[in-house]
Parts: sequence; structure tokens; C-alpha cells
Amino acid sequence: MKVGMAGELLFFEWMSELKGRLSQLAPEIEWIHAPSAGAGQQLLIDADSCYPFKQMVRSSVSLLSDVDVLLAPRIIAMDGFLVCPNFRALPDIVLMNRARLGLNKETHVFTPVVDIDQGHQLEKLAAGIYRDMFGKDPMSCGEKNFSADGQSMAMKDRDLSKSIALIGHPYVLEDSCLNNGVPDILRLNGIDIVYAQWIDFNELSNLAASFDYYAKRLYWRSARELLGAFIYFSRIRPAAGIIHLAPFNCGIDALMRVELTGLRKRMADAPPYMVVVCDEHTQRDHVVTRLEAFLDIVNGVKIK
Amino acid sequence: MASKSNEIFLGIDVGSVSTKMVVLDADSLSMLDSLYVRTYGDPQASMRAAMIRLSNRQPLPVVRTAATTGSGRTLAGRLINTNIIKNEITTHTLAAVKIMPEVRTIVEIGGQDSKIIIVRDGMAVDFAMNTVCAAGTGSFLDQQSGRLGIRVEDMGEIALSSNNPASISGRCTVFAETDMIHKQQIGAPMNDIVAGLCRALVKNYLASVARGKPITPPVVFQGGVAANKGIVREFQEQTGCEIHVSPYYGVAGAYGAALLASMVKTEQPAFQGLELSGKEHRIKSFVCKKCEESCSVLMLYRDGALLSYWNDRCGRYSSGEVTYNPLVTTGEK
Repeated sequence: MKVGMAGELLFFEWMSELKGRLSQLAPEIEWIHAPSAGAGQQLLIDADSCYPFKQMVRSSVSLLSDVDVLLAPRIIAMDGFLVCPNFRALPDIVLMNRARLGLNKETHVFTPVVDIDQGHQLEKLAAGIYRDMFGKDPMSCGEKNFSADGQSMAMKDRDLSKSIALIGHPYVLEDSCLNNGVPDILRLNGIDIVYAQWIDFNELSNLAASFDYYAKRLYWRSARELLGAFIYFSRIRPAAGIIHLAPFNCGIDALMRVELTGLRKRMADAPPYMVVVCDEHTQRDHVVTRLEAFLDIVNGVKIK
Repeated sequence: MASKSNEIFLGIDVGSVSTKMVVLDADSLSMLDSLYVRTYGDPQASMRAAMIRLSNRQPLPVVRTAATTGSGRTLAGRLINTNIIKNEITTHTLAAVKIMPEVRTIVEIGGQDSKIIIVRDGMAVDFAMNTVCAAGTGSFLDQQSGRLGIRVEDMGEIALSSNNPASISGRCTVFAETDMIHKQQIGAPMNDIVAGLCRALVKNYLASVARGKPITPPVVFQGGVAANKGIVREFQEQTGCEIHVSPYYGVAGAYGAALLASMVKTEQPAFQGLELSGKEHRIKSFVCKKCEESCSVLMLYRDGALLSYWNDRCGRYSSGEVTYNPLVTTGEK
């Protein structure tokens, strides 16, 4: 059975875990994450949403032609914190576009609700999806131990003092189409990069809580991730510099870039911090200029 | 006075609107010459103009080291054969720190971009540049002065003669133009409109480019727009800081590049800029199919001989790892 899920979603650790769990339950699943064609279709997503989200819709709709079953999850919350509300609408927008474009009505579209905090909830979610797909209960294949992955463990031993830390939404950090190639440009300049996603979310969330100076608790998952990662890379294990990759100036990123800038001002000896708003750059050279200047700041270029 | 050896450091800033060149004496670092010409979308031609100016100096100077900056810095670097190719934020910082070591804020407004650089102890520590909006740049003033039928060079003096700047939106060139037309239609004096335009540009800059950045004195103002006294007055009024206009404001990027050239101690390839005026230079391109990046790789030919590659993201061609073979690679233009 060919099962499709937009590759961009897999950058969320929970979604990657979900895929892994489903593969354990049904080894016959052949996963497809990148559509073979149709990426140029005009979709009904001209509303005020960011490019990464549009890309997820585009990937999902285009996958309809390639798969037997499409997984278009309705993601509400992960780790007990809310995800951008656009993600709740993903299945609706995919189905709306399928109807409008008259695409593969035979392809089943599963739209499970993702609201998970604990490993056992993921087990339940995977079992429910299996049941819907195969019409029977899954065989038990034992409890999976959810723990920090190798990357996260390796972080503990790394010297970050010469590294540039990248913070932001996981799908922006990982996908070169969405991040203007920033990680690649840094690597070409010989820079060691560390990602916020390499640190366990609970650790980031706890760090965010230690700086909770808002009237309300920060309830957006990405906001806690950003704040926690900023504190981690500026205070707990300082990096040489921090670059915040924001898709566009939407609510959470717009708020956090201001908050992090303010927080940095109040810190003594905080590492250089720069925001790159990916949607604002159409030319790679514009990004290169900013990165070069940022690296000069990190390296303390001074007139002699 | 040139150095006894007649050696110079050269800085070239190829911007989207103008190309600037600065010649420094290699011993004293004093400025021997500077040039400001319009790029007119043809950086090769503006570079050639700069090199003709350089070759006309008597006696012919010996370029010890050259550096390029600006949005056309990579092309310029290839044309003159230098490896010192630096972003404009760093070169503007070097230029400002040289003329005022205690500078803490640099305001730079050029033809199509504007930036703020925060400096501490002679080093840049933070910066911001405009991105999708050119409302607060020299082009905006150029465009509006043309529409008002005045020379952009005269805008500053005209603005200073007004004590009642008209209220004009600076958020967007379209809205600004609408507001200016409205003020003209109701009979507002020209000087009030021009002063209002200056006020709008500064408001736009402070609200967008400089948003969240601490503007603390001393403030140095660089870039072509620093010539406009109306803008300088507005910066002073809106920030409450004294604004120091760099004596080299129009060529500050090139000045910084020349200073950077003077700091480099490693051996550099032979300067070949003067050959720009006498030999045929052509740029060709091909699309590399090695990976999904599909880079449009550029190649510089001088008198038919291939000199260098650039614009390949992985450095496969520019590093000399491989050479272009039209039988293997398709897409040459």
C-alpha cells in the first residue's frame, strides 16, 4: 500500500515518530513524501498563510496522484502546546483543492487529529490510523521507548563556542527550499551549525518557563521552542551566534523576534543574533550578504 | 601626494545605482582620488569608467591590493582579479570607524538599500537592512524629485527652507506619491512638500530598518542620501542625536573596501583592472546540472580566453575542481 504524507510534516519529530510507528505496525506500507509531478498546480491557498504551509498543501495535493492513501493530519497540539492554527486546516484545504481540481477521488484521505503530549497517545493515534486504513486492530509490537535521539545526545558533548545556532520552525530549518539555503551557505563558509531541534523539546520548554514574564503562559509550541533555544544557545551553552529563520512576519515569529531582541538587550555578553525572514528574499545573494556580515560580527572584524 | 613607491590601495563599490572608487596612498592611507558614476544597470561599463580614470593618473599607480564591495562585488572582483570581496555592511563599518573611532550608530542610505549598523568599540555588533521595500532609499527620492521637476541634489536646500513640512506617508512609494499629488492639488508650497517627503523617508527608516535597534550617539551618516540636508535635519529632529555626515559619505563603501585592502597581509593575485579598458570582456553562462540547485554558472572571458567562474553555489567550478565542457554540460548562453 502506498501511503503519502507531505515531506515537510516529517520535520516535526512527533510526525516522524508516527510514521515510524505505523511502519512497525504495517511493514507493507510504502511511504511517499515527495510528489512525482503536479507541483505547479494553482491551488486554493491564496489566503494569508506562509510559504511553508502552502508548500505542505501543494505537496499533499500533488501526492494524491501517486498514492493509495494520503495522510493529511489535523495537527492541533504537540507536547501539550498549540501548533500554528493553519495546521488545523490542512486536511480541509487539501480536500477542497482535490474537489476543485477533480483529482483522484479514489485516493483515501485520512485526517487524524494530532493532539499529543505523551508517547502512549502516539501509540493510540497510530493504532487508530491503522484501524482506519486496514479495517482491523493492529497486532501489538511492544511499547516503544521515546527518548532523545542520537543527535540530541551528541549535543551534550559538543563545543558550541564556534558554532552558529539555527532556531525556528523545524520545517524551515531543515528544508532548503524554505530556508533560502542558509545552512548550506554557512557550511560552505566552513561554519559548524547546530539546530534547536537537536535539543529535547521538554528542556527548551522548561527554559522558556524560566523566562515566563508574560501575563499568560506562552501556549504556542514554536514560541516556547524559540525562546527556549535562544536561552540555551545564549546562556546555557553559548554558541558563537544565533540565527532565527522565520518564514514570514506572522504572529508567532513577529512576536518572538521582538521578544528575543529585547531579551538579548537585557543580557550581558549575549552572542550576536540575527533574524532572516525567508519570504523577504528573492535572491540568494541578498541572504549571502547578510550572512557574511553576520559572520564578520561573530569574528569581530575590526579596523587595524 | 602619492607614496614614493607610487603604490595605492584600491576600493571599488559597485552598487545598484552607482559605482564608486577610492584610491588610497599605500603609505599614508590618505585619499588620493575618488570617483562616483552611475551604474545604469551595466556594472561592466561603470567599472570600465573607473579603470579609465585610474589609468589616466600620472604617473600610473601600482595597485598593491584592491578590494570590492556592494551588490556587484563578485563581478567586480572577477573583473579586476582580486579575492578581497566584502559585504557592504563591513566596509561601511570600517569607513565610519576610521573617520570617527567612537561611532556607535551608522546610518547608511544608498540608491536601493538602506541599513543601520550598531557599533561598539570599533566593531559592528548588530545590523539591519531593508528587504522588500525601497521606500526609504535614494531611488525613492530620485523618483519623487523627478516627478516634482526638481534636481535631487537641490532637495535638501529646498527642504531646509520650509518650517511647515507637509504630512506625507512614507510607508510606501505609492502612498507617498498619492499624498504628494494631493498636497500639490490643494496648493501646498513646493518646499513644504519636499520637507514632508524628507520627514516621511526618515520616519519610514526609523520604523522599518531601524526598528528595535538602539540609536545612540555618536551617529555617522553615510551613503548618497547623506548629501540631502533635509534628511539630515529630520534625522536630528526625530532621533534627538547629532548626526555626523561622513566627509566621504558618497564613496564610504569604496573607502571601507580600500581600508580593508590595506589590512590584508597575505599575497594577492596580480591586479588586472586596467586591462578592462583595452581588452574585450565577455560573460557567458551555463546551467550546471550536477544537482537540483541548477546554478546558472557565470564565466568571464577576456579576449576569448576563459578567466574565471562564479555563481556556482558549491564552488565546483570557481574552486578549479572542474572546468566547463559544453559537450557534457548543457544550457550555455
